[in-house]
Amino acid sequence: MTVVEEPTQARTGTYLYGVVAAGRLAAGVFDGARSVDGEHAVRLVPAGDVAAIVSDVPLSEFDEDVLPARLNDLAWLEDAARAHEEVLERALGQTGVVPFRFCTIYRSEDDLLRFVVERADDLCRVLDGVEGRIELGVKGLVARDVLEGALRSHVGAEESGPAEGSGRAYLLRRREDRRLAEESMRFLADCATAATARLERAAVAASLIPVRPPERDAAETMFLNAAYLVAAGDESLAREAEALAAEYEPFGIRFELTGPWPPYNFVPRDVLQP
Amino acid sequence: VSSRELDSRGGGPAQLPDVLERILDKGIVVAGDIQINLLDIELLTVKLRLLIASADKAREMGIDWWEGDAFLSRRHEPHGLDERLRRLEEAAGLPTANGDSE
Repeated sequence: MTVVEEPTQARTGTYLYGVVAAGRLAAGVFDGARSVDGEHAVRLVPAGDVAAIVSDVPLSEFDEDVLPARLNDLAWLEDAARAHEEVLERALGQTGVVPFRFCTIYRSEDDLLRFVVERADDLCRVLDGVEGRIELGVKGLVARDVLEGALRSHVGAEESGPAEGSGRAYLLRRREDRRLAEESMRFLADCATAATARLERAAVAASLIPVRPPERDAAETMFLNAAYLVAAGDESLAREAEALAAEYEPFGIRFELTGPWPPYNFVPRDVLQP
Repeated sequence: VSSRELDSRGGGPAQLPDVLERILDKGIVVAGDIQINLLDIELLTVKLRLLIASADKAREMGIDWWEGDAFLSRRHEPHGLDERLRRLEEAAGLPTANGDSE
């Protein structure tokens, strides 16, 4: 028996960016939007009370056997990731969005619709919770040398010790360095605790993201990475972050606000799972 | 270092790492028919290339607070260094870090 397969190039899957409530997006909201494959148009597929934001993708690029290699291609990844995000941001400008994860792909639009319809109740519940709301990110960054310098001057100048160059002097210096390192860890822990408490009060909900490792040769290290759900247009979280930045500036600490984001960190994982 | 920098991006592009850490969900695609475990295929290597180049170096320095779920979950690993320092301190007649007071 011979099975004649269509050439891979011709086959497409359906890529799911996110879900919105039915009837909320203006016609043309995705006109000119770049899709994850850069070719197929982004479109809205109604499914009862909700609508799915989708585009077709060639399985020659997005199927299981080729996707891993693509994902390790940084240029490809960046284009596709930014396209995913920008499509969702267009929707976010008009209504609440349940963002789906990067590369959520169905083999056909029917399969995708079956999933969305099965999940409609959960999706509607989440949409109610995020309607009129956006995610903001706050990153806490520290220049450790500045912090240690500030703490050193608070603690007082080092006492005059044994002659420079002696083993004893070396050990004393090592101990002082270690003490400063521990001191700055404690300071950062306190700072992170205080900052998150204050930021949380200015938000509907909060979620902590794992802190990222230091970049090579970066002057700053991240010590806090958090996401907040806030009402669109509410400036109080931004103001609180600004106040924190001003207070902690002398210690080499900076707070960076990012967003608005689709509420990636505020969609329960089980809603996205098959 | 300028102080009150609050980079709300206001139309400008987001930083790629900020985008990736949101859309990747810990590296696993959780829905859809195309199932790949990004950790298996080391998508993380992509993130790593972007972000972690110096992780080992930082870990050597005892900076490892990005590990684990909570922020600042710094472990006191049996590094050997602390122990060695303590022995040297004892040998030099200095009070050890554990026993001393200001």
